[in-house]
Amino acid sequence: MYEFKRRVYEVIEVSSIGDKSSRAYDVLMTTAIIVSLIPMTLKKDNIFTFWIEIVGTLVFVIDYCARVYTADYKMGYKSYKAYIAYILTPLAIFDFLAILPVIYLFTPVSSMIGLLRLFRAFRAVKLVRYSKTMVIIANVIRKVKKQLMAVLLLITVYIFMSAMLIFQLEPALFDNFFDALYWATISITTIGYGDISPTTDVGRFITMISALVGVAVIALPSGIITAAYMNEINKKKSKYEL
Amino acid sequence: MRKSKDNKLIDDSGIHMDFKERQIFTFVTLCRIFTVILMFLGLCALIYGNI
Repeated sequence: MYEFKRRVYEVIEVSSIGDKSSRAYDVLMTTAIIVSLIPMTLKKDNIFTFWIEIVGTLVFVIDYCARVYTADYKMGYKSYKAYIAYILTPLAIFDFLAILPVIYLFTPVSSMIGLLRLFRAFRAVKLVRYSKTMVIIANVIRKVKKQLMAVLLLITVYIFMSAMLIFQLEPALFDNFFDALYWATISITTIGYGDISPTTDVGRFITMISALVGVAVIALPSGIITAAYMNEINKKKSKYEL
Repeated sequence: MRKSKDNKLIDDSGIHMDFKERQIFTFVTLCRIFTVILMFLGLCALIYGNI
């Protein structure tokens, strides 16, 4: 029985060279993910999008069941805790969310359930599994999670600070604090739509400072990820050289 | 267990064992059928959805 579970696990994971079943399964899953995203690019649903949803969800449900079934093998310990731990992993949550949109097909569109259609976007996350480079990037992000969280906190504090300053200095410019937050985010990220722009000298000065510091702060996450990614690549290279 | 020339499994007793091969073939064929169906549906949805 455990042998069968091991084989199921091998098939549903990224294929190794020469494994025809796993290769065919990977192609099916990749196709199912890409095709199930097509309805999101269309303005109106048609009979084909209905069937894409049905067939796609069928594939995703089978995949989800197989992944939960092999959870103890994947997690490395035989206990019901392995299943619970697996179900709560980010990728398993995305797998589950990817199944939910099918509910809206059988319920009135006017209800809140119509929003479930938006969950189809989560299906794109499932593609992460089938690219080795994406797996490396996901691991890298996991490794520098603490630094990224620190930078995110710094950015949030900075946005709030700029928003509060400009909200006090130019009260006529903003209807509410959310507008000020929107302005601060657009300025810091250097997007600068220009729909809200300061009129007083002090307001403009704040904008200049905010934009200059913003460039440095916003560039931090990409620097952290790039450094960690290069580190990971070098590690892999030296492993092969040894 | 070894693989014979015609890619069929033979066990130590010499009994012909192509059950696993047939299983793999069925699974791969099923996967391919579903892949083709999905590709067809996707293409049709794209064509009809944008007219």
